[in-house]
Amino acid sequence: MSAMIKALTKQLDASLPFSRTTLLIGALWACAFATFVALGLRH
Amino acid sequence: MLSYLSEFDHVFGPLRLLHYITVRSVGAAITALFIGFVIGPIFIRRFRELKFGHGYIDERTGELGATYFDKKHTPTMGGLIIFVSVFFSAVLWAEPNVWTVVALFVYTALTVPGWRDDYLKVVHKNKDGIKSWEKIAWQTGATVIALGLLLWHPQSAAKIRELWVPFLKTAVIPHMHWSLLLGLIYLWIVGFSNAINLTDGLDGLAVGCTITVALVFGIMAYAAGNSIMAQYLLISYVPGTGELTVVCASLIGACMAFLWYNSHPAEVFMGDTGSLALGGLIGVMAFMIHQPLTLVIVGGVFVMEALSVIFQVGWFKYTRHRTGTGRRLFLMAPIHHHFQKKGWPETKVVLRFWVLSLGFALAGLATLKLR
Repeated sequence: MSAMIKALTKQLDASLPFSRTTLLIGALWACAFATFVALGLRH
Repeated sequence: MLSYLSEFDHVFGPLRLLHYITVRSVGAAITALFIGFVIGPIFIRRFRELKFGHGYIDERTGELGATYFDKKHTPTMGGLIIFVSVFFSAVLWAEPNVWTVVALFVYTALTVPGWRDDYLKVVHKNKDGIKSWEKIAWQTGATVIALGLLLWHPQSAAKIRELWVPFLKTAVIPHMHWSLLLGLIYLWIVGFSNAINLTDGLDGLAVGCTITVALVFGIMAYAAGNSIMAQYLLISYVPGTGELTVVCASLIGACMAFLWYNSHPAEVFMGDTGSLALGGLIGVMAFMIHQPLTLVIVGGVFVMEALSVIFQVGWFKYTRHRTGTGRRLFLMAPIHHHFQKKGWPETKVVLRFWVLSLGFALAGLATLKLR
Protein backbone atom coordinates (compact mmCIF):
# COMPACT_ATOMS: atom_id res chain seq x y z
CA MET A 1 0.00 0.00 0.00
CA SER A 2 2.72 2.44 1.03
CA ALA A 3 4.69 1.53 -2.08
CA MET A 4 1.66 2.33 -4.18
CA ILE A 5 1.24 5.70 -2.44
CA LYS A 6 4.93 6.43 -2.96
CA ALA A 7 4.65 5.56 -6.65
CA LEU A 8 1.56 7.72 -7.02
CA THR A 9 3.26 10.63 -5.23
CA LYS A 10 6.27 10.30 -7.52
CA GLN A 11 4.00 10.27 -10.56
CA LEU A 12 2.14 13.29 -9.21
CA ASP A 13 5.40 15.18 -8.65
CA ALA A 14 6.48 14.45 -12.20
CA SER A 15 3.20 15.39 -13.83
CA LEU A 16 2.31 18.55 -11.89
CA PRO A 17 3.82 21.83 -12.99
CA PHE A 18 4.16 23.09 -9.39
CA SER A 19 5.67 21.68 -6.22
CA ARG A 20 3.64 20.04 -3.47
CA THR A 21 4.33 23.02 -1.18
CA THR A 22 2.77 25.35 -3.75
CA LEU A 23 -0.20 23.04 -4.05
CA LEU A 24 -0.55 22.95 -0.27
CA ILE A 25 -0.59 26.75 -0.13
CA GLY A 26 -3.16 26.70 -2.93
CA ALA A 27 -5.32 24.22 -1.04
CA LEU A 28 -5.13 26.28 2.14
CA TRP A 29 -6.12 29.37 0.22
CA ALA A 30 -8.99 27.48 -1.39
CA CYS A 31 -10.24 26.76 2.13
CA ALA A 32 -9.85 30.46 2.99
CA PHE A 33 -11.85 31.37 -0.12
CA ALA A 34 -14.55 28.84 0.81
CA THR A 35 -14.82 30.55 4.21
CA PHE A 36 -14.91 33.94 2.44
CA VAL A 37 -17.78 32.74 0.25
CA ALA A 38 -19.67 31.25 3.21
CA LEU A 39 -19.30 34.47 5.21
CA GLY A 40 -20.13 36.65 2.24
CA LEU A 41 -23.31 34.83 1.27
CA ARG A 42 -24.80 34.43 4.75
CA HIS A 43 -27.98 36.47 5.21
CA MET B 1 -11.27 39.04 6.00
CA LEU B 2 -8.85 41.07 8.12
CA SER B 3 -11.72 43.51 8.66
CA TYR B 4 -13.07 41.17 11.33
CA LEU B 5 -10.01 41.98 13.44
CA SER B 6 -11.37 45.51 13.90
CA GLU B 7 -13.87 44.01 16.36
CA PHE B 8 -10.94 43.39 18.68
CA ASP B 9 -9.92 47.03 18.89
CA HIS B 10 -10.60 46.98 22.64
CA VAL B 11 -7.68 44.53 22.92
CA PHE B 12 -5.34 46.42 20.58
CA GLY B 13 -6.45 49.93 19.57
CA PRO B 14 -4.86 50.20 16.09
CA LEU B 15 -6.94 47.23 14.91
CA ARG B 16 -9.85 49.68 14.51
CA LEU B 17 -8.08 50.95 11.38
CA LEU B 18 -8.98 47.68 9.65
CA HIS B 19 -12.59 48.81 9.73
CA TYR B 20 -11.83 51.51 7.14
CA ILE B 21 -12.10 50.65 3.44
CA THR B 22 -9.40 53.20 2.57
CA VAL B 23 -6.84 51.63 4.91
CA ARG B 24 -7.66 48.13 3.68
CA SER B 25 -7.48 49.27 0.04
CA VAL B 26 -3.96 50.59 0.55
CA GLY B 27 -3.07 47.32 2.31
CA ALA B 28 -4.61 45.31 -0.52
CA ALA B 29 -2.71 47.21 -3.22
CA ILE B 30 0.61 46.83 -1.38
CA THR B 31 -0.03 43.14 -0.68
CA ALA B 32 -0.92 42.42 -4.32
CA LEU B 33 2.11 44.38 -5.49
CA PHE B 34 4.34 42.44 -3.12
CA ILE B 35 2.89 39.05 -4.11
CA GLY B 36 3.23 39.96 -7.79
CA PHE B 37 6.88 40.95 -7.34
CA VAL B 38 7.64 37.76 -5.42
CA ILE B 39 5.82 35.26 -7.62
CA GLY B 40 6.52 37.04 -10.92
CA PRO B 41 10.10 35.75 -11.43
CA ILE B 42 9.16 32.31 -10.06
CA PHE B 43 6.23 31.96 -12.48
CA ILE B 44 8.20 33.35 -15.44
CA ARG B 45 11.09 30.95 -14.78
CA ARG B 46 8.64 28.05 -14.49
CA PHE B 47 6.78 29.08 -17.65
CA ARG B 48 10.10 29.19 -19.52
CA GLU B 49 11.08 25.76 -18.23
CA LEU B 50 7.73 24.41 -19.36
CA LYS B 51 8.09 26.26 -22.68
CA PHE B 52 4.83 28.14 -22.18
CA GLY B 53 5.77 30.52 -24.97
CA HIS B 54 4.56 30.55 -28.53
CA GLY B 55 4.79 32.50 -31.71
CA TYR B 56 1.24 33.81 -31.82
CA ILE B 57 2.43 37.39 -31.93
CA ASP B 58 3.99 36.74 -35.30
CA GLU B 59 0.74 35.39 -36.65
CA ARG B 60 -1.36 38.21 -35.26
CA THR B 61 0.94 40.92 -36.57
CA GLY B 62 1.46 39.39 -39.99
CA GLU B 63 4.25 41.20 -41.87
CA LEU B 64 5.39 42.84 -38.69
CA GLY B 65 6.45 39.42 -37.50
CA ALA B 66 10.11 40.15 -38.07
CA THR B 67 10.15 42.81 -35.37
CA TYR B 68 8.60 40.35 -32.96
CA PHE B 69 11.16 37.62 -33.23
CA ASP B 70 12.38 38.33 -29.73
CA LYS B 71 8.85 37.75 -28.47
CA LYS B 72 8.42 34.38 -30.05
CA HIS B 73 9.72 32.59 -26.99
CA THR B 74 8.33 34.99 -24.40
CA PRO B 75 6.12 32.92 -22.12
CA THR B 76 2.41 33.60 -21.95
CA MET B 77 -0.11 32.78 -19.15
CA GLY B 78 1.16 35.77 -17.16
CA GLY B 79 -2.48 36.36 -16.25
CA LEU B 80 -1.86 33.78 -13.54
CA ILE B 81 0.50 36.23 -11.80
CA ILE B 82 -2.28 38.84 -11.74
CA PHE B 83 -4.86 36.27 -10.68
CA VAL B 84 -2.89 34.90 -7.74
CA SER B 85 -1.96 38.40 -6.54
CA VAL B 86 -5.52 39.75 -6.78
CA PHE B 87 -7.13 36.66 -5.32
CA PHE B 88 -4.84 36.33 -2.30
CA SER B 89 -4.86 40.03 -1.55
CA ALA B 90 -8.62 40.52 -1.99
CA VAL B 91 -9.55 37.52 0.15
CA LEU B 92 -7.21 38.81 2.84
CA TRP B 93 -8.28 42.47 2.92
CA ALA B 94 -11.85 42.67 1.59
CA GLU B 95 -14.84 42.17 3.85
CA PRO B 96 -16.84 39.18 2.59
CA ASN B 97 -20.20 40.21 1.15
CA VAL B 98 -22.24 39.20 -1.88
CA TRP B 99 -20.57 41.81 -4.12
CA THR B 100 -16.99 40.77 -3.37
CA VAL B 101 -17.87 37.07 -3.51
CA VAL B 102 -19.49 37.40 -6.93
CA ALA B 103 -16.64 39.59 -8.27
CA LEU B 104 -14.02 37.05 -7.19
CA PHE B 105 -16.17 34.17 -8.39
CA VAL B 106 -16.46 35.64 -11.90
CA TYR B 107 -12.73 36.41 -11.93
CA THR B 108 -11.88 32.83 -10.93
CA ALA B 109 -14.45 31.22 -13.21
CA LEU B 110 -13.10 33.09 -16.25
CA THR B 111 -9.45 32.51 -15.41
CA VAL B 112 -9.99 28.76 -15.92
CA PRO B 113 -11.06 28.84 -19.63
CA GLY B 114 -8.44 31.50 -20.36
CA TRP B 115 -5.77 29.32 -18.81
CA ARG B 116 -7.03 26.25 -20.67
CA ASP B 117 -7.01 28.21 -23.92
CA ASP B 118 -3.39 29.27 -23.41
CA TYR B 119 -2.41 25.80 -22.24
CA LEU B 120 -3.84 24.10 -25.34
CA LYS B 121 -2.22 26.68 -27.61
CA VAL B 122 1.27 26.53 -26.16
CA VAL B 123 1.62 23.05 -24.72
CA HIS B 124 -0.50 21.00 -27.10
CA LYS B 125 0.32 23.31 -30.04
CA ASN B 126 -3.39 23.54 -30.77
CA LYS B 127 -3.65 26.83 -32.69
CA ASP B 128 -7.36 27.31 -32.02
CA GLY B 129 -7.15 26.78 -28.26
CA ILE B 130 -10.36 25.76 -26.55
CA LYS B 131 -13.45 25.27 -28.67
CA SER B 132 -15.68 28.32 -29.11
CA TRP B 133 -18.64 26.54 -27.54
CA GLU B 134 -16.55 25.68 -24.50
CA LYS B 135 -15.51 29.30 -24.01
CA ILE B 136 -19.11 30.45 -24.47
CA ALA B 137 -20.27 27.77 -22.02
CA TRP B 138 -17.81 29.01 -19.36
CA GLN B 139 -18.81 32.63 -19.89
CA THR B 140 -22.52 31.80 -19.86
CA GLY B 141 -22.16 29.58 -16.81
CA ALA B 142 -20.20 32.22 -14.89
CA THR B 143 -22.73 34.93 -15.82
CA VAL B 144 -25.76 32.79 -14.90
CA ILE B 145 -24.32 31.75 -11.52
CA ALA B 146 -23.16 35.29 -10.72
CA LEU B 147 -26.55 36.77 -11.57
CA GLY B 148 -28.31 33.96 -9.72
CA LEU B 149 -26.35 34.77 -6.56
CA LEU B 150 -27.00 38.49 -6.94
CA LEU B 151 -30.75 37.98 -7.46
CA TRP B 152 -30.94 35.48 -4.62
CA HIS B 153 -29.12 37.45 -1.95
CA PRO B 154 -31.25 40.04 -0.12
CA GLN B 155 -28.43 42.61 -0.08
CA SER B 156 -28.23 42.69 -3.87
CA ALA B 157 -31.56 41.32 -5.14
CA ALA B 158 -33.28 44.68 -5.67
CA LYS B 159 -30.23 46.83 -6.36
CA ILE B 160 -28.82 44.71 -9.18
CA ARG B 161 -32.06 45.13 -11.14
CA GLU B 162 -31.64 48.90 -11.43
CA LEU B 163 -30.18 50.30 -14.64
CA TRP B 164 -28.38 53.62 -14.32
CA VAL B 165 -26.78 55.68 -17.07
CA PRO B 166 -24.36 58.60 -16.82
CA PHE B 167 -25.68 62.19 -16.55
CA LEU B 168 -29.04 61.12 -15.05
CA LYS B 169 -29.99 61.43 -11.39
CA THR B 170 -32.31 58.45 -11.24
CA ALA B 171 -32.41 54.90 -12.53
CA VAL B 172 -33.54 54.63 -16.17
CA ILE B 173 -35.06 51.23 -15.43
CA PRO B 174 -35.76 50.77 -11.70
CA HIS B 175 -36.67 47.09 -11.96
CA MET B 176 -35.10 45.31 -14.93
CA HIS B 177 -36.35 41.91 -16.00
CA TRP B 178 -33.80 39.24 -15.13
CA SER B 179 -33.47 38.12 -18.75
CA LEU B 180 -32.54 41.64 -19.90
CA LEU B 181 -30.05 41.91 -17.05
CA LEU B 182 -28.57 38.53 -17.92
CA GLY B 183 -28.17 39.57 -21.55
CA LEU B 184 -26.55 42.88 -20.64
CA ILE B 185 -24.11 41.43 -18.11
CA TYR B 186 -23.20 38.67 -20.56
CA LEU B 187 -22.64 41.21 -23.31
CA TRP B 188 -20.40 43.33 -21.07
CA ILE B 189 -18.38 40.37 -19.84
CA VAL B 190 -17.84 38.90 -23.32
CA GLY B 191 -17.36 42.30 -24.95
CA PHE B 192 -14.72 43.53 -22.53
CA SER B 193 -12.98 40.14 -22.41
CA ASN B 194 -12.55 40.27 -26.17
CA ALA B 195 -11.65 43.96 -26.14
CA ILE B 196 -8.86 43.42 -23.59
CA ASN B 197 -7.72 40.39 -25.56
CA LEU B 198 -7.43 42.53 -28.71
CA THR B 199 -5.63 45.30 -26.80
CA ASP B 200 -3.10 42.80 -25.45
CA GLY B 201 -0.94 43.03 -28.55
CA LEU B 202 1.83 45.36 -27.38
CA ASP B 203 4.03 45.22 -24.29
CA GLY B 204 2.26 46.80 -21.32
CA LEU B 205 -0.66 48.19 -23.31
CA ALA B 206 -3.58 46.15 -21.95
CA VAL B 207 -2.35 45.99 -18.38
CA GLY B 208 -1.55 49.72 -18.27
CA CYS B 209 -5.05 50.61 -19.46
CA THR B 210 -6.53 48.11 -16.95
CA ILE B 211 -4.82 50.03 -14.12
CA THR B 212 -6.60 53.27 -15.06
CA VAL B 213 -9.95 51.48 -15.34
CA ALA B 214 -9.43 49.82 -11.95
CA LEU B 215 -8.45 53.16 -10.42
CA VAL B 216 -11.61 54.88 -11.64
CA PHE B 217 -13.81 51.94 -10.66
CA GLY B 218 -12.20 51.90 -7.22
CA ILE B 219 -13.21 55.54 -6.73
CA MET B 220 -16.69 54.91 -8.13
CA ALA B 221 -17.19 51.82 -5.97
CA TYR B 222 -16.19 53.80 -2.89
CA ALA B 223 -18.67 56.56 -3.79
CA ALA B 224 -21.46 54.07 -4.56
CA GLY B 225 -20.94 52.32 -1.24
CA ASN B 226 -20.91 55.51 0.81
CA SER B 227 -24.39 56.95 1.47
CA ILE B 228 -23.14 60.52 2.05
CA MET B 229 -21.02 60.65 -1.10
CA ALA B 230 -23.70 58.93 -3.18
CA GLN B 231 -26.30 61.43 -1.97
CA TYR B 232 -23.99 64.37 -2.68
CA LEU B 233 -23.03 63.16 -6.16
CA LEU B 234 -26.61 62.05 -6.94
CA ILE B 235 -25.42 58.60 -7.91
CA SER B 236 -26.91 55.28 -6.92
CA TYR B 237 -26.20 54.20 -3.35
CA VAL B 238 -25.47 50.47 -3.31
CA PRO B 239 -24.74 49.29 0.26
CA GLY B 240 -21.72 47.02 0.48
CA THR B 241 -20.16 47.89 -2.87
CA GLY B 242 -17.55 50.00 -1.10
CA GLU B 243 -15.74 46.71 -0.53
CA LEU B 244 -15.19 46.48 -4.29
CA THR B 245 -12.72 49.34 -3.78
CA VAL B 246 -10.51 46.80 -2.01
CA VAL B 247 -10.85 44.41 -4.97
CA CYS B 248 -9.98 47.24 -7.38
CA ALA B 249 -6.99 48.19 -5.21
CA SER B 250 -5.78 44.57 -5.34
CA LEU B 251 -6.17 44.68 -9.10
CA ILE B 252 -4.15 47.90 -9.33
CA GLY B 253 -1.34 46.42 -7.21
CA ALA B 254 -1.32 43.17 -9.16
CA CYS B 255 -1.34 44.94 -12.53
CA MET B 256 1.50 47.22 -11.41
CA ALA B 257 3.59 44.19 -10.47
CA PHE B 258 2.70 42.50 -13.75
CA LEU B 259 3.56 45.65 -15.70
CA TRP B 260 7.04 45.48 -14.16
CA TYR B 261 7.62 42.25 -16.06
CA ASN B 262 5.38 43.02 -19.04
CA SER B 263 7.05 46.36 -19.86
CA HIS B 264 9.01 46.54 -23.09
CA PRO B 265 10.74 44.19 -23.85
CA ALA B 266 8.21 41.92 -22.16
CA GLU B 267 9.38 38.96 -20.08
CA VAL B 268 5.86 37.57 -20.00
CA PHE B 269 2.48 38.10 -21.68
CA MET B 270 -0.83 37.94 -19.83
CA GLY B 271 -2.43 35.77 -22.54
CA ASP B 272 -6.06 34.73 -22.51
CA THR B 273 -5.59 33.76 -18.85
CA GLY B 274 -5.42 37.45 -18.04
CA SER B 275 -7.56 39.13 -20.67
CA LEU B 276 -10.61 36.89 -20.40
CA ALA B 277 -10.77 37.13 -16.61
CA LEU B 278 -9.97 40.84 -16.35
CA GLY B 279 -12.69 41.65 -18.89
CA GLY B 280 -15.15 39.57 -16.89
CA LEU B 281 -14.19 41.18 -13.61
CA ILE B 282 -14.50 44.79 -14.76
CA GLY B 283 -17.63 43.94 -16.77
CA VAL B 284 -19.48 42.50 -13.81
CA MET B 285 -18.26 45.22 -11.42
CA ALA B 286 -19.67 47.86 -13.75
CA PHE B 287 -23.16 46.49 -13.14
CA MET B 288 -22.65 46.08 -9.41
CA ILE B 289 -21.76 49.75 -8.90
CA HIS B 290 -24.40 50.88 -11.42
CA GLN B 291 -21.88 52.28 -13.91
CA PRO B 292 -22.21 49.98 -16.96
CA LEU B 293 -22.19 52.74 -19.55
CA THR B 294 -19.44 54.63 -17.74
CA LEU B 295 -17.25 51.60 -18.40
CA VAL B 296 -17.63 52.28 -22.11
CA ILE B 297 -16.13 55.74 -21.47
CA VAL B 298 -13.50 54.72 -18.89
CA GLY B 299 -12.43 51.71 -20.92
CA GLY B 300 -12.37 53.86 -24.06
CA VAL B 301 -9.09 52.36 -25.29
CA PHE B 302 -10.50 48.84 -25.10
CA VAL B 303 -13.67 49.97 -26.91
CA MET B 304 -11.59 51.75 -29.55
CA GLU B 305 -9.48 48.63 -30.15
CA ALA B 306 -12.55 46.40 -30.47
CA LEU B 307 -14.35 48.84 -32.75
CA SER B 308 -11.29 49.14 -35.00
CA VAL B 309 -11.43 45.39 -35.63
CA ILE B 310 -15.21 45.42 -36.16
CA PHE B 311 -15.00 48.35 -38.62
CA GLN B 312 -11.98 46.89 -40.41
CA VAL B 313 -13.64 43.51 -40.94
CA GLY B 314 -17.05 45.06 -41.67
CA TRP B 315 -15.70 47.56 -44.21
CA PHE B 316 -13.57 44.88 -45.88
CA LYS B 317 -16.55 42.55 -46.29
CA TYR B 318 -18.85 45.39 -47.42
CA THR B 319 -16.47 46.70 -50.09
CA ARG B 320 -15.67 43.19 -51.27
CA HIS B 321 -19.40 42.53 -51.63
CA ARG B 322 -20.00 45.83 -53.46
CA THR B 323 -16.90 46.12 -55.65
CA GLY B 324 -15.33 42.67 -55.61
CA THR B 325 -12.20 44.01 -53.93
CA GLY B 326 -12.02 44.30 -50.17
CA ARG B 327 -10.69 47.60 -48.84
CA ARG B 328 -9.26 48.38 -45.43
CA LEU B 329 -10.02 51.36 -43.22
CA PHE B 330 -6.80 51.01 -41.24
CA LEU B 331 -3.38 49.80 -42.32
CA MET B 332 -3.87 47.02 -39.81
CA ALA B 333 -6.27 46.15 -36.99
CA PRO B 334 -6.44 46.32 -33.98
CA ILE B 335 -5.67 50.01 -34.21
CA HIS B 336 -2.38 49.94 -32.27
CA HIS B 337 -0.85 48.02 -35.21
CA HIS B 338 -2.12 50.74 -37.57
CA PHE B 339 0.13 53.24 -35.82
CA GLN B 340 3.02 50.79 -35.77
CA LYS B 341 2.62 50.42 -39.53
CA LYS B 342 2.76 54.21 -39.77
CA GLY B 343 6.21 54.02 -38.23
CA TRP B 344 5.57 54.79 -34.56
CA PRO B 345 7.85 52.79 -32.27
CA GLU B 346 6.07 50.29 -30.03
CA THR B 347 6.82 52.19 -26.81
CA LYS B 348 5.45 55.41 -28.32
CA VAL B 349 2.19 53.71 -29.27
CA VAL B 350 1.86 52.22 -25.78
CA LEU B 351 2.63 55.47 -23.97
CA ARG B 352 0.24 57.47 -26.16
CA PHE B 353 -2.51 54.91 -25.60
CA TRP B 354 -1.89 55.19 -21.85
CA VAL B 355 -2.31 58.95 -22.17
CA LEU B 356 -5.59 58.32 -24.01
CA SER B 357 -6.62 55.90 -21.29
CA LEU B 358 -5.96 58.54 -18.63
CA GLY B 359 -8.05 60.98 -20.63
CA PHE B 360 -10.91 58.49 -20.83
CA ALA B 361 -10.54 57.88 -17.09
CA LEU B 362 -10.88 61.60 -16.35
CA ALA B 363 -13.90 61.82 -18.66
CA GLY B 364 -15.44 58.88 -16.81
CA LEU B 365 -14.81 60.51 -13.45
CA ALA B 366 -16.39 63.74 -14.70
CA THR B 367 -19.66 61.88 -15.24
CA LEU B 368 -19.89 61.49 -11.46
CA LYS B 369 -20.48 65.21 -11.04
CA LEU B 370 -22.30 66.03 -14.26
CA ARG B 371 -25.82 65.02 -13.38
